[in-house]
Amino acid sequence: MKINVQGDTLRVSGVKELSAANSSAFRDWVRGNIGAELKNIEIDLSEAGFIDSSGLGALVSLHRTASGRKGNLKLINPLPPVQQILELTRMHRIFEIMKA
Amino acid sequence: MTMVEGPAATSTAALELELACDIKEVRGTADKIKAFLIAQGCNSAEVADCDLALVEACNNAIEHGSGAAQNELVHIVTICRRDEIELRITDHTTGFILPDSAKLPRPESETGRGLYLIQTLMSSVDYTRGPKGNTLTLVKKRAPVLA
Repeated sequence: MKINVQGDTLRVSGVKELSAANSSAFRDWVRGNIGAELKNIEIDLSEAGFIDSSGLGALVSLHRTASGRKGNLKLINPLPPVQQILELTRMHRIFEIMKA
Repeated sequence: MTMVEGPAATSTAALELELACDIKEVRGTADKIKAFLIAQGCNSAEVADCDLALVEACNNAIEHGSGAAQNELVHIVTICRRDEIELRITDHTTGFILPDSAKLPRPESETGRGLYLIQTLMSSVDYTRGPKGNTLTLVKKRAPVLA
């Protein structure tokens, strides 16, 4: 996975999956990389083929982190299987989802 | 891990796997079952739904295991019939009460979506608790195959 900073946004890419096996580590890794000057988090999900409820939990946690800084969490280009899970759990109403 | 696979050419085929009580092992085991279902001719939607429901069920079985249950294997039986896929996950946890229809938690909750996903993705979900283990049985009806 890669992280880069654009303005006040932390952008995460190269996420292959968000599951119970890696979601806590993912959440902690992103939180550990978000500097005090950043408020928004963007997660590029264009390579993520799988997400489970633990992965959703990690996204909820990062959404809270961004909200606490008066920023937001954006999900970029989720693949259809991930988009389906976001919609099934109605999380697409909570997260901002951007498709290129 | 043990594997007993029936012939794919018959109308019913079965795969039997054992999963160590380790959350990092879940995806690898689910991938084997996914490959088995694809080999039986299940369509991509059926495979994806079973894959996620199975992962959620195995995660629950492992995360709720404590004490001696952590040394026990989770037993998974997959039966692929012409009209349905059946997944049986047997664990040795203290078990849980399966609601008729699990509700989504509050949006800000980080947990509590697993059972909802399982029940939403599967055609039927049954749970039996017993002295030799608890078995969660998931059934997914298959789309009719056009001649």
